[in-house]
Amino acid sequence: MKEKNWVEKTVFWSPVSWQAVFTGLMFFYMYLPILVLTVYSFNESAYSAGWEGFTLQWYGKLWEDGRILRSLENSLVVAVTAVGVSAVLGTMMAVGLAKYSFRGKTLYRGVSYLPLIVPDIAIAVSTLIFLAVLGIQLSLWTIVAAHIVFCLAYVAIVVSSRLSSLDPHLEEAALDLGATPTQAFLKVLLPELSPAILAGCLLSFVLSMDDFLIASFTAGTGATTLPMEIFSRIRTGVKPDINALSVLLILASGLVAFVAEYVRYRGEKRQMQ
Amino acid sequence: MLKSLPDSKKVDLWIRASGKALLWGMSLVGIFFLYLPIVILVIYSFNESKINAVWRGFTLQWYQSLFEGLTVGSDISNVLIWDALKNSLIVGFISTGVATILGTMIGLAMERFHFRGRTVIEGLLFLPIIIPDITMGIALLVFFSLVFQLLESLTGMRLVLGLPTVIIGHIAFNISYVAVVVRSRIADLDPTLEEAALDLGANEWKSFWRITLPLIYPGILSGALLAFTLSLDDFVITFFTAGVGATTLPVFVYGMIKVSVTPAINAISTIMLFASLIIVVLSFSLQRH
Repeated sequence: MKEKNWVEKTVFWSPVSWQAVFTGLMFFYMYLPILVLTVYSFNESAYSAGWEGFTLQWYGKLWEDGRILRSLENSLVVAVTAVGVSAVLGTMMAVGLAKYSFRGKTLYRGVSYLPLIVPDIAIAVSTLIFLAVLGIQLSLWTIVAAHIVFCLAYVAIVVSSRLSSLDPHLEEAALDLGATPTQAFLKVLLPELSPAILAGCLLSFVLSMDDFLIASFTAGTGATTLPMEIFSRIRTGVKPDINALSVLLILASGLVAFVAEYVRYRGEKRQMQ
Repeated sequence: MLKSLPDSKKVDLWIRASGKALLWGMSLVGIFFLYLPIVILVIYSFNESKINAVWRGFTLQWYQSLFEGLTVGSDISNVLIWDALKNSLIVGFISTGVATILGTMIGLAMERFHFRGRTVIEGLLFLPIIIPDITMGIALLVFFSLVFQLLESLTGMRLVLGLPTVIIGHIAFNISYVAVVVRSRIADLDPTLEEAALDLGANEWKSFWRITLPLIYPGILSGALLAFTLSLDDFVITFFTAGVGATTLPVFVYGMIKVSVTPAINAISTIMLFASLIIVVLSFSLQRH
């Protein structure tokens, strides 16, 4: 009896519960590689695993590296264009799916989410063959076209989930009060949807910036994106400047995702009130 | 009729009509964009001609060539497609199994556990999903080389990258996915059910096994299926953490395409496509229950 009390005390009443210990351990496991990467990006030694002092030179070197800057520029062009097109088309797709009912709507809806499910390598191979069949020359714009496919699906998903939680009476009320359908869409529906559109855009922006596989198959010569540049450098061994670049990419992705989630959360909260 | 309407209404009608037309046009473009490549891939996997873009008649020979065993690589290090498939399945099953258990436990622990800074911890749970695969691959590569160096200097053991390192890497990213899916399921759970079980005399352990676990079981299963597909499809992280001889299916396909696009690749991609599709549809239908 006494022993059971002791167990109960330590397991359920100790100041540090098993949940905290376990969660801590798991996060340690998940983040240890990233932590090591971050530490080494500040290491003065270029080759050895030994610690030779703190430096910011690897971060500084990135700004002088023309190839990295050019590939960053390519990545940004691809991501901004793909996201811009997807934002318009994806929103229209979500609104259209919510408003009109037509035969095969469920199929169409399921089909529009397919890019999220299909393995990247299958998308890459099929796009490559498709472009070859059409005889289209690979360039930066073929990457944009391939990225629109999956960005569109993400924007559409985020916007539709927001649409389904919206009060349909709002738009009807606007119409009753004399607004034209266009006015009702622009002044009532769009402002309500804008946090979701923005969140969807940010999410697909991150995904587009991060994609390696699809870009590497659809890129023409000279159209190197940032992940492709990193990939080609890594094959000859990990250099500290790539560590620094990776840390920056993790921070940037995390930041964009955080802003997206925050925008979405704020939008939902405003709607609750 | 149209003339009697005020101008703004006319414009509006016009916008509505064109909106509808645009929607249809866009759907067609979308389907064309998205599905035509996949349809072409599937069709050409049955094409007799070795060169894509020319149709020479129906054949199953490319699928057959997969079953007879296909190799890729140089003369020295040939990798059989069966070895690649076997590696993929080993990595998929082990990493899914471990990640499912650990991810479910994290999901449970975080739901029950209230503390300050919980939002930060939740954000950290999401982060591995959002950070670029390529940076995760590099982080793991740097991490493993450090660990190997340390081990060698401490014990004299020489370790190299291989299947175990791939599995460790896959578990690290799969935990997040499973935990996120399971958590959303737990959040929908009625806490009074468990309290009722405790009130009726069950101990914590019993109420977990007989009440909580059966209720969150669909969430766990769909998280596991998601993790399994992600693990099977992953290329970048596997590429960085696999040494020689630990080639998985996506790495194999990548190696093949770099040489040339052959109809056999179409056949593999078609099979992978349908396998992922089946698993994900299964996972979604479980989640809906």
